[in-house]
Amino acid sequence: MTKRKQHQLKGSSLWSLTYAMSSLRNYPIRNMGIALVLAIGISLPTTIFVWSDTGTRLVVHDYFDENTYQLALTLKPNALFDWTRTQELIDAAEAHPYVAYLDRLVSTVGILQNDTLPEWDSYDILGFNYRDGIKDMRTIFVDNNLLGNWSRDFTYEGDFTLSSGEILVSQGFIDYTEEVHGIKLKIGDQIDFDVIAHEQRYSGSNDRNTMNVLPYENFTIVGVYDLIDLGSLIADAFPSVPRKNWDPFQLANDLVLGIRDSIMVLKEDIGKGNVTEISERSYFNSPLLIRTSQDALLAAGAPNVATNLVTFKSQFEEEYPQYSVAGLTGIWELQATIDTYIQSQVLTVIIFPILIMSLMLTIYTSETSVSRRKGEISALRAKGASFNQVFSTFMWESLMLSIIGLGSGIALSFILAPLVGSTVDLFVFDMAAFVRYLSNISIPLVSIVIAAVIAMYLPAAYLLHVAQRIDVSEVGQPMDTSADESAESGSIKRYGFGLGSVLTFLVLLPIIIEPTGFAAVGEILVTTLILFIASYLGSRTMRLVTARVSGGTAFLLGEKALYLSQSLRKRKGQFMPLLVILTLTLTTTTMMLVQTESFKATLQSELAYAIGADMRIESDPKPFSFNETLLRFPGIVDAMPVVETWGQVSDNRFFLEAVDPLRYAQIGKFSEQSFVNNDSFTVLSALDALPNGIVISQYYADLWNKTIGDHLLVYFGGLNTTQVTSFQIVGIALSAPGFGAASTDDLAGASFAAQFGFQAGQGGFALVNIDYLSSITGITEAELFLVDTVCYVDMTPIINSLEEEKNTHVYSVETFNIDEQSSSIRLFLSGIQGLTTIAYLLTAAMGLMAIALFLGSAVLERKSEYAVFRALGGTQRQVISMVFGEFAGTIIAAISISVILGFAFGFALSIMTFGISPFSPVLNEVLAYPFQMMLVTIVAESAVMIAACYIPAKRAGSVNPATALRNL
Amino acid sequence: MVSTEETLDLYGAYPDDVVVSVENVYKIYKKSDLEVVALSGVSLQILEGKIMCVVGPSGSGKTTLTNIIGGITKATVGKVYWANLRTDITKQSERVLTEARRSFIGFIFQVNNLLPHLNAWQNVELAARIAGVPKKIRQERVNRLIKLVGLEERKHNKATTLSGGERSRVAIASALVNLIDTKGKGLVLCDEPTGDLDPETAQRILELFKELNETLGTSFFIVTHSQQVASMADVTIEIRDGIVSGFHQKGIDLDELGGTRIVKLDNNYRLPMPVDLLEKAGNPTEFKISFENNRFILEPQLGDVVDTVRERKARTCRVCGSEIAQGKFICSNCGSTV
Repeated sequence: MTKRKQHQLKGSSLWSLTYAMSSLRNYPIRNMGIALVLAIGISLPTTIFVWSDTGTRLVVHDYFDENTYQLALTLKPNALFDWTRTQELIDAAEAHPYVAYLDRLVSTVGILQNDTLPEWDSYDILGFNYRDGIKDMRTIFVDNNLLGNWSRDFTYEGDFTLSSGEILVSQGFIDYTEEVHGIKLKIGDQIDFDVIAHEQRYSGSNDRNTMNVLPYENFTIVGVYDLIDLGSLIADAFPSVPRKNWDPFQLANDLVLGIRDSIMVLKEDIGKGNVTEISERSYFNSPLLIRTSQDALLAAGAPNVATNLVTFKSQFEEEYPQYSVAGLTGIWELQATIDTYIQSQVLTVIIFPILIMSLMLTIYTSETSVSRRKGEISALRAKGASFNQVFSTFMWESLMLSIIGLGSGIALSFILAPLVGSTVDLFVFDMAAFVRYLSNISIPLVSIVIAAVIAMYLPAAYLLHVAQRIDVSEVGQPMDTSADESAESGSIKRYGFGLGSVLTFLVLLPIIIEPTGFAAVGEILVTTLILFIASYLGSRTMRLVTARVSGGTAFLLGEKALYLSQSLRKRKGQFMPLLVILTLTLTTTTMMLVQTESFKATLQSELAYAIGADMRIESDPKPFSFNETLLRFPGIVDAMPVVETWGQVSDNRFFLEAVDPLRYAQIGKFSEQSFVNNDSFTVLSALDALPNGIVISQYYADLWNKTIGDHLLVYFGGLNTTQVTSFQIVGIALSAPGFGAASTDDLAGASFAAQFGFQAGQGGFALVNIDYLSSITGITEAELFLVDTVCYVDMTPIINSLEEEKNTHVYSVETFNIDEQSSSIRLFLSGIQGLTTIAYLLTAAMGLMAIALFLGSAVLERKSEYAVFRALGGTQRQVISMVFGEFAGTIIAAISISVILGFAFGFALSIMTFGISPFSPVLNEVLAYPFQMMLVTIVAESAVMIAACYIPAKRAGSVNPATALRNL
Repeated sequence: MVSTEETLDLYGAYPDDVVVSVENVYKIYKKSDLEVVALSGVSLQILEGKIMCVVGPSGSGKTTLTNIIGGITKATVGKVYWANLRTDITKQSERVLTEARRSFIGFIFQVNNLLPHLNAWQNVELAARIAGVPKKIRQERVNRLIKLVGLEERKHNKATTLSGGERSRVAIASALVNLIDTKGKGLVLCDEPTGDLDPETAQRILELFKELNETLGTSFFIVTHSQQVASMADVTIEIRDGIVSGFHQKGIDLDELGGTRIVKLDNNYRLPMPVDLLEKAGNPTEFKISFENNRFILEPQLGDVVDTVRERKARTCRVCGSEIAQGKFICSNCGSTV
């Protein structure tokens, strides 16, 4: 028996995608909220990577901008020119991946000619040429490519490009010409000149006929130039010749034939053959200048830019010993800045709480959103949608949201990274720096990968949560499901005790385990975890406290008190996450403010200690009696010279800092931690009492197994000889004002003093008596003076007056410019301040979004409750004030607990932040609580949040009881 | 797209006009240690082009039965035959059931299950879109159904702006959108379709059911408490405590079910006793049964005959310590159950 069997409808494979897209359109606010919160999470680590990558590129770019060439290869004075070998070198250099281009600079002597000027018969480069009416100059053979490369290095009038028959002249050449011939050359004038292509160097003849002289006529001056930096490799490539031009008794030599006394002419006007001859046989070497490729160097790894360049330089030095290789000045400063950028990437850990908060909020909102759509799922299932279809609908939705979040997160980091880079102080930005960062923005691949991984968190969470939700959804459920929760009756004491225990652990953590290096990173991560636990426990405590307080305010609130107290106890599913998020938001803000200000305060304390006194004067050697000169300045109370010389015990080298101990005790900004077991006055009095006394570092005391009273044989530098003396140890130092750490080996990273340039180099220092050292060495001059001033004096005029003298630098805490003197510290500080600022903005945004999402959805779910209130006779105003009171209560609870938590976490994290910074403080960290700033920021944040509650409260008030109850 | 093919009919025992057959179905829900028997040995057949109503008190298992017929819930024991699959669906996978359901069963619930962000036309179209019906056919069907349910004027209105009756019409059209071309072998499962409608609107919806039933030949299985609904059914079944306690032909009166009730032996030769009759007889628990003059005669027994064989003794309540009388299982003092 057969029967007809119907074919089934297999279902549309594209429906899920189209429905997901329409769903995104239909719930724009909810979906955009999820995507934006996710975007914030994604943007945070990306911002740090974009900032450090862009910053690194910018400093490298600046370095390459300031240095047209990085290397200069010049034939050594006694080396013979070998064309084959030179060509080999040029080929090797040009083929090297690090080389962007190479310029061979050919020049020789040219002699200015004119119809009115006498012909010359003989020429001696070192002769009295000006007296003899011969105006010679360096003639440089260029092409427009070379001029293009040089355009940044020269200032010029007219053009800096050449056509055939045109010539560029230097301002110096014009000046000398006027001096020699009384002619003032200008743009548009025509000149003739002879080029000496072939010097008769070995025949000894100066006769014009023995030289290969090439005459050139009617060249029009089209530009007048001057080299900007006379210390650059271009200047070095065309060194001046010091010469007496007028008579043998001339007092000073004139500097001639250098770049400042030159003309430039096109190679093609001279002829290729002539240029080749000149390059081989002219008066001057033809140095090779190399510009390296910044892209290739960055591609080889930003951390290795300096090392790679130095290795590259060494390769040439080894392979071509007849050439001397110059260049790479300032490369280590560049590397230090790059390293600070790279090390600053570890700052990612301090924004971990915000990252996790955003992910938590993302998942919670999406989870809430899915659970609110149970009715929709049910409807879809009733209409024939299979489990897979519904599932893939949600997965498509999450995927699209994660892609939107990824795009927005990366876009957000393109705004935030320049903000970090342009931070001058908390909430203060340099617009020019912002624009510069923005226009040079670059994003490393690794951060895109990290961002994508974070973005995938949303679909992954959907995968777990949504699958469950779909599975439990039954066909035929109503569209609106509102769960009624019973009031929570937890114990305040229990949560309070939990919170107290967690905070105690937090405060003890950095004390028990010293936060340095990886331990610090680990502790910050643990602290992040504790932050979440504390926020949760704090939120629960505060919810119950607020509920109790509300319950006890019946005399104020009337019947509303009952509603508020019960409502605050109820709905923990809705309000707890909101409370936790808000607590986290406000705590993080407070915590980061404390962290930043503490770093800044520590920086100031380290700066004062590194400078060592009210004023620090560094100069060329001055007699000790300069002290007396200083004391004549109004406002200067005391001053003392410091003699610094090298010292050595066995293989350990350090500096001997010779001071007047009692004066030093008065002038120096000592700390309790300066000396081991003794205060500064006791130790320095002991040093004063014993002429051959010495204060050594704890590190060396341990290394040499010496203690107070022991003798130490020290080799040290005298005036011109090495001397040796037995010193007796009178004290052990950890550090001292003005000299930094007593032993740099004690520090995990570079000391702040080293960053400011005041750390005693090599292995540290030891303190000795200046009188004793002076008497045995004969040293009577010092390069360092420490000065004590009256506290109210304005030191600026004194500083200006002292700095008028050449090579004299005066430092004080008030006038020290960290930006100029220590770009690495500025960079790290700017990183912390920038991150704090953006963290503040982002957490505030997240807080507001959380309020909008949670309270918005709470109002939606409780429509019927409000409708009942209205139906029972409550006015719209009453509903608004009741709901606003409830919501604002939640915010106030969050603020109250977060201030407490903020202080505790600020304390712990401030200490830990030093552990991850590339610099080690010599003194204890200074914890700073910027109460005013905290008050302003928290009040502002809270005001905005409380104000934001009014919107959902207003919506609650506008619920139409007729509609709400009809659709119940 | 619906098409047909010739296949070997393994379920040939069922007549051609059977749309769904439920055979000796049990449904037991387990919640932690507690087992709830929702259906106990239910058997029935839904016939092509007929309207079957289910009546019974709340919690009697009506919705469970609907879900089992619709393949949403699987029966713990028993068979459910779908004419389109020509097989027992209790052994089929979720995927097969979903695909088979699309062109065979439509759902109408009291809550309507309309998506608020879609308009009436889109709500009707949604099921066809999910099923993958080509656009042209889909549009033609939706237009036809919208016209049939009289919503042409309101088709562009969002679901939230429609009245209760209009929403019901949309739900009906939506349930039929994939069944409309199945040449009669379709079933609409309705759970309280007129529950939240006023009698006048409800009447109009019922007339629409009837009209659709007659014009499209679609079968209806309706769960209801309403006399209005039950009175238009071809067959009504009574369900109580998970057991089908009676069948009724057309034109029943819910207040006088005893007058039209027919009881049917289940697969285990058990006969459900109508509760109203039991109440009339003083809730006897034991009967003497005999067959005389072509009639079964049940005589209620005074006293518990079967229990006389059990040794009776007084017991003490474990909760309050009071004495519980012989044969009683509930403490008269504290209400605890023994």
